[in-house]
Amino acid sequence: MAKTNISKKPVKDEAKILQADLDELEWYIDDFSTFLPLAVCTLNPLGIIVNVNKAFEVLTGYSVLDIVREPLSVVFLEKEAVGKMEEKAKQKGISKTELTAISKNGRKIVTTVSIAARKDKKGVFIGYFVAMTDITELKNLQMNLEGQVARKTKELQEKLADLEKFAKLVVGRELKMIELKNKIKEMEKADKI
Amino acid sequence: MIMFDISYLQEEADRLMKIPGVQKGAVLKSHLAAIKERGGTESLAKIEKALSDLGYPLKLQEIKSMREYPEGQTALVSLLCQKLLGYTDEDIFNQAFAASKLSFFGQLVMRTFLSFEQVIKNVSRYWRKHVSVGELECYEFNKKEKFAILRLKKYVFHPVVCLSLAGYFLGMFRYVQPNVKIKETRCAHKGAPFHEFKVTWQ
Repeated sequence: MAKTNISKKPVKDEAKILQADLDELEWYIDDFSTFLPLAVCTLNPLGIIVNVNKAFEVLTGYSVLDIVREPLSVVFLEKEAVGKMEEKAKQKGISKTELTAISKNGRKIVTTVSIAARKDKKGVFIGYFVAMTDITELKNLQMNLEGQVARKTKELQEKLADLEKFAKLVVGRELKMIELKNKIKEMEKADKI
Repeated sequence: MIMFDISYLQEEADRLMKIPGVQKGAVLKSHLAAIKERGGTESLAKIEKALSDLGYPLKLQEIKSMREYPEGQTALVSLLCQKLLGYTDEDIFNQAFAASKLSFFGQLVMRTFLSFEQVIKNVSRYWRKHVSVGELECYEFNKKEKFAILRLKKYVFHPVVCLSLAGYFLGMFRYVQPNVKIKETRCAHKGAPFHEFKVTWQ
């Protein structure tokens, strides 16, 4: 009879190893989820939140007990856009846009939201992963810079207008002088005659 | 920490822990996490100390979701919530309802279901994944009149568990059906041959 390379470890030992692996995996997922600075949540196929990480709780102010089993739209100002994003992710695999999150205490947070559709190994759609990045500071900085640029542009435009006025004035005077010179020349000619 | 004399619970604790049957740690873990969420670390510490004093030590931090623990321990935890933390029936129900949001295993299973009907019709499979004792079945599913009857057989621990189960079941159903309600209509602790839960929705 041909020998096989299949491990002859007793089933109980295999089960113990698998159990230890699962424990390790759970610990790893918990640890990673707590450490991850990016706010992440998982949605079921109906768009209902089934899990959030620590960063999500910190960003939105909602605890797991507050937010799990709620639709994702609860978190955002643009309710309809969330549904459209989910639909797009379902069709194209991923969707990304800028949305305003409303924290539990009503604070508006400008975020970049990415939604990715999840499929099991058979290709069956099983829900979504959602990641949120707080870009409020970046937006404020951008708006600040845009404001500064607008102010400087206005100042420059005003200076340009002054220069134009001055130029017109100078050119006008020069024209007048040329005219006067010409008149003098004509008068001198007339005197000679 | 205030000390409680819990020796009067020893006999009941021993009885519960001797009942055969195991559950996945995820369920137990979510119950203890819900106690912590509700009453903070002080409430959790009281329960953990009481479990240790009764000879059945268990710490939230050490529970592994996929390992097996005695099913009686959930009943014991609920009982201690009543006796030590003053939980009312409604509190027990709400604590289990909250626990279902914190369950790693629940999240793992509930992420794939697409409809309430699918969940209800799969309760037996779902129960078996969590618990080795008792048989949960969907006895009736009436889509037209919007109700379902669940029956739990061969599962007798303590009346406090009925409230806890109802809260946990409701929590699971709410993942897919927002306006669902649940009520225990027959109880194995009150002479019925099984527990029966009526689930209604809008």
